[in-house]
Amino acid sequence: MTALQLDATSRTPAVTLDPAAGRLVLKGESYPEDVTSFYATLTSAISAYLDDGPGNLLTEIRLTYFNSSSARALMELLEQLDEAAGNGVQITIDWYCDPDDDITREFAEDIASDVSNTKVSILDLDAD
Amino acid sequence: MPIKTEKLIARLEALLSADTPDQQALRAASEALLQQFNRQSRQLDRLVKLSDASEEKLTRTNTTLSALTRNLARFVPETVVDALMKSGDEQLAGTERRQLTVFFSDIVGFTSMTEQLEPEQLSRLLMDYFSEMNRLCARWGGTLDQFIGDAIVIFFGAPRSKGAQADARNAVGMALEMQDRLAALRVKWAEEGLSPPLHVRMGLATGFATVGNFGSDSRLHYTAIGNAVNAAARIQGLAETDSILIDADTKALVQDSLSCVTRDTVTLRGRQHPVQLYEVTGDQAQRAHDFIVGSGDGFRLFLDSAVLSDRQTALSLLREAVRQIEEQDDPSA
Repeated sequence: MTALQLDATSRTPAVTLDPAAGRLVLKGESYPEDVTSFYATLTSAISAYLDDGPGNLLTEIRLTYFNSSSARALMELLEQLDEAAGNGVQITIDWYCDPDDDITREFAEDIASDVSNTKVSILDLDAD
Repeated sequence: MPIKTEKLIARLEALLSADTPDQQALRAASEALLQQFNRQSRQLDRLVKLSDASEEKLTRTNTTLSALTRNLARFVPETVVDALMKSGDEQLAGTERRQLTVFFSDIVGFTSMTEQLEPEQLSRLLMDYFSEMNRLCARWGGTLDQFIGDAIVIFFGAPRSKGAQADARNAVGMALEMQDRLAALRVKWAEEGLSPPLHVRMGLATGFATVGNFGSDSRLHYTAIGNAVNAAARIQGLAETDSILIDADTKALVQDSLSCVTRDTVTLRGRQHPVQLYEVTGDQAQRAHDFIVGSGDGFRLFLDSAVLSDRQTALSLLREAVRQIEEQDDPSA
């Protein structure tokens, strides 16, 4: 199982998937030029991790900005994780939002209310 | 379209293409596609909501930014605001040596004027004066460096230069229009009972200066420092009332389009050689005669077309005046 480590750029967030620790972190801003390709890399790595065994996965979302295309990709990603949770994998999502950013917080809360197998916690970005 | 949706559609299409579709499989595929459709509808709703919220936030930010830019332009020269908007932080860094034409003006007898006018009158007079001079500075592309009491310092050639000759011509053109406008304003002020009349001396010099943002980390002032600035201030002090005095370097740049009269040769502090001064007498073609002033028995006219806002009323009054005059019997006829 290989880890995934993508450094942040001006348009893409830093991504860390640590299989040993069972931890996925997205941190920064997300408005990639090729959103499909960027998130495909991530979902492939997660699929490989989930296929490898029923490990747990703590996902931390620490995005200070994401565009609509990234929002859609995030929803797909969360569906993927929720489906895995439905199959017995323990998935936890900690979504860190800027306390002043109502838009992101409402979006995260909306998604959280729609996933059935995953525990989603909305946290303040400053709290960490 | 997401891969999952494509697969579900393909599966359903394959089932439907069979001569006798498997009803159970067809039902399962339809339900799966319906579930996916519902999921994507919710996603679409969220994206629309997200997009609307972002658009609203962007509109609010733009409104704030526009107000900030408008207010900023009241404190910082418009040319500097424009340069900052276009080039960002790098515009704030450092200073540079540039050839400038510097304009310096001063109100004649300002101290005694302040003693003769009520504070409200003085405030109104100065507001009119500075607003009009500021408007002309912006119109000619000058950088308003600062108001020093009743003095105005403006330079041309930074942060943007149109070339030394164009900068000098614009600076002198502005000075000429300022004197013209002041003549019109004096009539207006007299009409409003504001006296004594306000007269201004103007001096211009061309030369190199260090220009940029001076000050501290927390407070900067875009200004020019150098001999050209000092020279403009001193030349202004030597100018006659209501006149524009320039140095030889400025004259060399504007003489093709403006007429000048040779004045004194003076030695300015900081300069080794005497400086020949010239008074700009102007070029009627360049001067903006956008006001009409006149009076006589039975009429008084003041038309300032540069600031005219209610054109219809002005036209209607003037037509009525022309009609009445034309209807009168001409005793000289």
